[in-house]
Amino acid sequence: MYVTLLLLPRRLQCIIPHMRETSRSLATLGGGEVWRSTVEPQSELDEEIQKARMKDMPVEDMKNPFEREKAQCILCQYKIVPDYKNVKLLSQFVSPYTGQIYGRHITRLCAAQQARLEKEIFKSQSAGFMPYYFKDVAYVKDPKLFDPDRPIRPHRF
Amino acid sequence: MPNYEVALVLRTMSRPELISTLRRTADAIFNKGGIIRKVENLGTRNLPYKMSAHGSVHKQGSYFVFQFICPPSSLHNLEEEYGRDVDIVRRRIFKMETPEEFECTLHEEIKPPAYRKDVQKMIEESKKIDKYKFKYNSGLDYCPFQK
Ligand SMILES: [Zn+2]
Repeated sequence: MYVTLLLLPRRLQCIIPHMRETSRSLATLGGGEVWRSTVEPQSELDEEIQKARMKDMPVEDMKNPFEREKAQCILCQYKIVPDYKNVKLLSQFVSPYTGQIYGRHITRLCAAQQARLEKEIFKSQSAGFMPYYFKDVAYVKDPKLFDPDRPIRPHRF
Repeated sequence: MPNYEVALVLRTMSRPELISTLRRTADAIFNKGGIIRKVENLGTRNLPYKMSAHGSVHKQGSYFVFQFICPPSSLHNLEEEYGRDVDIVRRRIFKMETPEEFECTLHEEIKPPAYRKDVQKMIEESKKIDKYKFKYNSGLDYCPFQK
């Protein structure tokens, strides 16, 4: 095999990397090895070619371009603080059939906001602003913030 | 003195009666050494559920909210005084707190379980527990009985 390669014409030799004129030198950027010519640039044209090649080399210390945006819950996103007097807002997190507060896997709130919301709902119900066993009829047709039939994690109801 | 908020549900009354009731509730705060910062009228409407107070069932009520400053020691007396008032159907005193700032942790929580910190902690804890193993104390390195 080697013998046959050595016998190849020069034009073909430059295509095959592990022949005389190139070597496995320099940088292992991003884990992969980089092939570079070790031949000294002989003319201006060669130098320009070298420069153009360097532009195509992998960029060091680059941010991960595939990193996702940090997800935020709807209350944190719009900086809403749930209040026990705001029955219209609180009713959006309650089942219209049973008045139960939907869980975190349905509402998609962070733990702190969900705890705060539940506290305000209990206050509101206790103070006589909000019903216990159903959603206020005036708010039933409000826009939906989430779909209870498609939770993040499965649930038993 | 901390800020408080009292949510009142008053029974439906004529206007002069309502005014006298509100004056009475406000005076109760002043008499306890408090200051009223704000009075809000949230309207008269149907109650979300029937409320019985002072021997009668209410289905309609007027909502009022008082924001006030008052020594904490007099809070119990205030609550008790409102409880005796026949025109007040329901009263709840809440402390007004400035909402604390926090970072949203949703991106941590919606990760798959193996990447969640609380799950990793739980797994680690479960490994720590050394389970009880029965010892024969027979001085033998094998079990002499049928196993
Ligand atoms: Zn959040």
